[in-house]
Amino acid sequence: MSKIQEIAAVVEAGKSKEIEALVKAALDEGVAPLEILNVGMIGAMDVVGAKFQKEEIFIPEMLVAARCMKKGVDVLKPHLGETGGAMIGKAVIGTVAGDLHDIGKNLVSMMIESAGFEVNDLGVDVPAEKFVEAAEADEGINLVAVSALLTTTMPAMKATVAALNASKARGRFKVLVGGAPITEGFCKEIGADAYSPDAGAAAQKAKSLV
Amino acid sequence: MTITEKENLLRLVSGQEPAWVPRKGMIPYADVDPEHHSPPSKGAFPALFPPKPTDNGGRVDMFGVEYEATDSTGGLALPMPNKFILDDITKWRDVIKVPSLEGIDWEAVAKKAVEHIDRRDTCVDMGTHVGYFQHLMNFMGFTEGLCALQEEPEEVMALYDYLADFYDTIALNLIDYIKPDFFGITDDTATARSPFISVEMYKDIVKPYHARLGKIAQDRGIPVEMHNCGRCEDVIDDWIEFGVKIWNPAQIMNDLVGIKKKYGNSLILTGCWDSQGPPGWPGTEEEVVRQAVRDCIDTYAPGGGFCFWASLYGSKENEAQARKHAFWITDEYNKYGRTFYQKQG
Repeated sequence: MSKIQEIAAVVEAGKSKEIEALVKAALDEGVAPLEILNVGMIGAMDVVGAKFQKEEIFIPEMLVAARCMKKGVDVLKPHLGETGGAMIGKAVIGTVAGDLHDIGKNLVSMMIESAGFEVNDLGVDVPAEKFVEAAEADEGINLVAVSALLTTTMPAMKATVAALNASKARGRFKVLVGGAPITEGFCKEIGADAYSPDAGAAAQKAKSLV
Repeated sequence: MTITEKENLLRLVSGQEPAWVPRKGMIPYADVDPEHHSPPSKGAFPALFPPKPTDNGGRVDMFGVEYEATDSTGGLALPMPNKFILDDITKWRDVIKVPSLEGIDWEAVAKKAVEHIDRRDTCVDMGTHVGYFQHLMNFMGFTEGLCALQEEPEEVMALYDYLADFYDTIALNLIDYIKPDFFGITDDTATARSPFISVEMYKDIVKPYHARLGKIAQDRGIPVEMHNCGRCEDVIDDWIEFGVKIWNPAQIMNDLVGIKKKYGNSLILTGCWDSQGPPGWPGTEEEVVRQAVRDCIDTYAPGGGFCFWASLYGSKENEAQARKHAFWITDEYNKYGRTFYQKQG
């Protein structure tokens, strides 16, 4: 098994204790940092996301895989140069005003980070204007992900997307929505760009949007 | 012959067809009933270590977890985000401390737990705590708690052993005084779309503690009522092993028609209401709501094995509208559900 394959296997299994030494060993062997990132790690997280969607694995397995990758990226970062390697974009994420649920948002945050985004996580109970402010504050932002877990906070999601749609920076970012009561139909109705039913699909959707 | 709400519910739980479709009170509008029927069951929760109010309007439980009630959940409380009490599961022994149970007058506690229930007309549903899975999430938050289940299962089970020794002692000391009609086990182990954890993880780590609690009721011939929201149907067979006869809320992301067919009247489905679909949305038209009530009853009530229970997560901002919504549901249930079996002949 090659070092890249070993890294992919360790990320997939979420073995955080092993990833640092393995990435260092791969670098020592002369494996290109970008190959470690793209093939070993992001590739492994694609597999994790697909398995999650098929219910072959569940949230704990996905969480530890994402954490493992994060640890590996920390080792890799100094070797990736100024661009941070294969970063494909910057995202703002948060749960809408009035909603304190964080697990769905956290999972999506980890998965889109694992897919190559730099993520600014605004947390939970985030007012619409805060989303807009964060999206406008950084010219690199090309994705805004909005979560709502309750039927009662769907109106807050609608208001958030309306505020984002009115933003002067709207042309440079896409809006991705998700959460238990959210549907493709609701996404279209409120004028968001895309809907994701789960965290695994969110990473794929995010990549396809930017 | 006239029977009481309680007798009708017990008839259902014994596997017979009830005289009418029983129902639970609507969350959070239990008082909205134009015909003022008494509820067929009420919860008896021993108030041994009640949560204390905090300065910011929330409350703190006996372990030190702070909760905040939000308008969007209709006043239901959630642990405060980013204020969890445990960040490393291996340190739980230093952080999680159960209070002493020495010197408690169990008979007096039991008496107080049921004093609000008229047992002639209402079943007693005894509960003890929010659930082992849920406890871990309340202590650590979902992200850390779920990682702990994956990475340190032995430590999680050691914590569960500690908690189960405490809660089982409470249950054993109270159950023969309270004499409940049902014994409730609560644990929300699923999201709306899938279980939080695999069936294997449930069987290995969580189920043993549910089973310990269930055995206390099983040994006394008391049916167990399982509260588990979301898509959790994969573990129903496991529940049945530790005495579960009633599942609430049986939510529509599960294959409820298939479940009813498989288990028949041996498992009571409480709920079956589309709380996250159009019938639960604020602003839905009256006839859509009323039709949803009739559809729900038509689908799940035939032959028994079903208790109607519609939750409505109304916002305080639109309380008048939410109460009207709750009225439509309850009124339609009264008109349609209370005569359903008579119409069927």
